[in-house]
Amino acid sequence: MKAACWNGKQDIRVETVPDPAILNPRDAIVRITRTAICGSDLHMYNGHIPGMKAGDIVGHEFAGEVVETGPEVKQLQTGDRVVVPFAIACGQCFFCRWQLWSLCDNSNPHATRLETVYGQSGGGLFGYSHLYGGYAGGQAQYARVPFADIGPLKIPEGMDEERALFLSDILPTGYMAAEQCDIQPGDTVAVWGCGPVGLFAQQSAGLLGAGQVIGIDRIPERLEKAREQAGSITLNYAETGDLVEELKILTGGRGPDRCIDAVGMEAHSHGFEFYYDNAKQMLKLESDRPVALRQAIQACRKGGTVSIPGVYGGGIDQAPLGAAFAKGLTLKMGQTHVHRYMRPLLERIEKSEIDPTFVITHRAALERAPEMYRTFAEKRDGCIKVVMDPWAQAA
Amino acid sequence: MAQKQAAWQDWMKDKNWETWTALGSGAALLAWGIVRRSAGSAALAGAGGILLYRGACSRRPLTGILAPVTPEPRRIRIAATILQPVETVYEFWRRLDSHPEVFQRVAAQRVNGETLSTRKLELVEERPNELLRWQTRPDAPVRARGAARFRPAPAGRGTEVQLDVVAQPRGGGLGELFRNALGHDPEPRLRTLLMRSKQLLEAGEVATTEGQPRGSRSKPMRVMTRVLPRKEKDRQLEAAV
Ligand SMILES: NC(=O)c1ccc[n+]([C@@H]2O[C@H](COP(=O)([O-])OP(=O)(O)OC[C@H]3O[C@@H](n4cnc5c(N)ncnc54)[C@H](O)[C@@H]3O)[C@@H](O)[C@H]2O)c1
Ligand SMILES: [Zn+2]
Ligand SMILES: [Zn+2]
Repeated sequence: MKAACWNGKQDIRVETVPDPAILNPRDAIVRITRTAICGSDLHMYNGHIPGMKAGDIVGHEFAGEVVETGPEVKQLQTGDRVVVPFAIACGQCFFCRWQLWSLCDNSNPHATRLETVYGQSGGGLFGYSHLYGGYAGGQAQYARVPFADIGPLKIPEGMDEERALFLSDILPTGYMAAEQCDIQPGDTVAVWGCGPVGLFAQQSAGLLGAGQVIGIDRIPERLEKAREQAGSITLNYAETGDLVEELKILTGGRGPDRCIDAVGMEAHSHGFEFYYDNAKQMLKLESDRPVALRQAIQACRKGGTVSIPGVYGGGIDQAPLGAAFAKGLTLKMGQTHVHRYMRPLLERIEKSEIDPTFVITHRAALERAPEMYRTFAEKRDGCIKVVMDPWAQAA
Repeated sequence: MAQKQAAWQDWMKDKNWETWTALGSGAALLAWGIVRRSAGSAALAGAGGILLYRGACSRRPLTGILAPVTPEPRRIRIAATILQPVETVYEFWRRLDSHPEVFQRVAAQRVNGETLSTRKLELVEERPNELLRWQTRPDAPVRARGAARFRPAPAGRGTEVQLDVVAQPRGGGLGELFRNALGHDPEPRLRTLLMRSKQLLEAGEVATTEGQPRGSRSKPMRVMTRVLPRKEKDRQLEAAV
C-alpha cells in the first residue's frame, strides 16, 4: 500500500510499504478513504517530537471502511464505515473506565520508556513516535486498528465521511478544551490560536454558554474564520501592542474568565521573547516555546481556568507559576479523551448544530502529502486544514 | 609506637602464600627490569610493579585477576495495580509459564547467551492471594530470587502487585561490564514483564506493533532528544542573555 512516512525533519515521503495485518485478536483493518494532517503532525514534522524513526508511518485522523476483523471483535463487521479516534484505548483498565481514554494503561507497548521520562505513561497514539507506542499511522491506504470494538465509531448511513472525519481528533479536542473550562453564563473565553483546534474550541465555547469569545492569531484568513464561524471577536497579536493589556480592556480590567492555549509548543511571537525561546529550542536547552501559555496565565482573571489543548512535550522555563498561584488559577490539560466525545458530537453533527467541514481548505491525493505538509506548515495558500484521499491519483 | 606495631602486625597477618609469591616475584621482576635497561625490560619492570602493588593491597593478588570479586547483587522493586480481583491476579502469577505471550517476548532477549524462561525458576513459597516466592534453579544463567506480594487496592481498584527481586550478576569482571553496557540490565525486562501481565489480565491481549508495516529506514534511529532541558545549561544561558 501507499503510506506517508516520516524520514526526518521536514522530510515526509510517500512510500510503498506492505499492507498491515491483524496482529492481535481485538484488531481490525480499515481501508482508509479520508485522512487529514493535524497541527500535532507539524510538531513531528518540525522535529520536536522525540522517539521517531525514519520510515514511521504518520497520521492519526482517519476514516474508512472495515475490511477485516480479529476473532475477538464483536461490534464491527467488514463493510462498516468508521471514524477512528487518534488515542488507542483498551476499554477495560481503570483509566478507560473513568473515561480518561487517552491515559489508557494497556495500549502503549513501550509504556516503560515513557514512564522513565514522565513518571507514568499515557496510552498509545497512532503515528506519534515510539514513546507513544510506535503505531503505524493513518496517512496510508490501510491501517491496523487495535481494540476495534472500543474506538472506531460507525458513521451513520448516508453521512459523508468528511463530516465525521474530525471526530477522530480536532473536534473533540476543541470541545474538551472548552468543556474543561467549566464555562459559566456570561464568561469571556479567550482562545490563543485560530487553527482547527482553536476554531473548534471557540465554537464549542459558544455552544457551552460563553458570553463573549475572543480569538487570537496573526493569520488574517484564520481570524476571519473565527469571526464568521464562531462569532468571535478577534485580535491579531502581531498588530496588538500589549496583548494582555488589550484583553484586560476588553473585559473591564478583570481578564478573560477562561483562557485556552490552542497553540502549543511551537508558538510564534515577535521580538525578543521569540528569539530567546527559539534559540533555546534549537540548542535543545528548552524543548517547548511557551509564548501563548505564558500570556494565557498572565491574562486570566483571578480564580479562572487555563485550558491547554496545545501539545507540550518537555520543559519550559519562565513559566509564570507564581502568577498562576497568586491568582488561584485552575490548569487543565492533556491529550483528548476522544472516545468520550465522539457519540455526543456526532449527534450534534447529525442535528446540524455543528458542521466541522468548514475548516477544510485543501483536498488532495495522499501522493501529494509532502507538498501538503509544507503548505500547511508554512500556512501558505490560505491553508487551514488538509484532507487527503489515499486512493485518488495525484493530478 | 605501639600503634605502628599493631598496623604492621595486621598487615603481616593478611599475608598468605599468594601474597608472598606476588610480592617476591614482583620485586624480582622489577629489579631485573631496572638492571637490564632495555625496551622490553621496561614492560617487565611494569608488570613487577603491578604484582608488588597487588601483593601489598589484595588478599588474592594472583587468582583475583582470573576471577575478580563478585559484583554486588542488584535489588529491583517495582509495582503495578491490576484491575482484577486478587484471586485472579495471584493465580495468573502462580502459573506465569502458562502465559507464553507475557514471558516469551521478554525471554526473546537473551540473558548471558541463554534465553530466560520460567523453567529456570522454581516456586519456593506460596501464600494464597498474598505472596509468591521464587528462586532460580542451579542451572539457570543468572542467579536471582524474587517475591511477588499481592494486596487489594483501595476502593475496588483491583490488586496491587509488588515485585521484589534480587539478582546476583555472575562474577565476570569485564564480561559483566560489557553485558551491562549492552543493556542486559534485568530491570527493564522485569518492568516489561509486569506491564505485559497487566495488559493480558485487563485487556486480554499484549499490546504490540511487531509485524506492522513501515517505510524504508532511510536514516538510523534519531537520537532520543532530551525531553527535559538540562538545568545547569539553562541557567548559564539565562545569565548570558
Ligand atoms: N490535546 C490534544 O489531544 C490535541 C489534539 C490535536 C491537536 N492538538 C494541538 O493543538 C495545537 C493546535 O493544533 P492545530 O491543528 O489547530 O494547529 P495549527 O498549527 O493549524 O494552529 C496553530 C495556530 O496557532 C497560531 N499561533 C502561533 N503562535 C501564536 C501565538 N503566540 N498566539 C496566538 N496564536 C498563535 C498559528 O498562527 C496557527 O494558526 C497543536 O499544538 C496541536 O498539537 C492537541
Ligand atoms: Zn491531531
Ligand atoms: Zn484502557
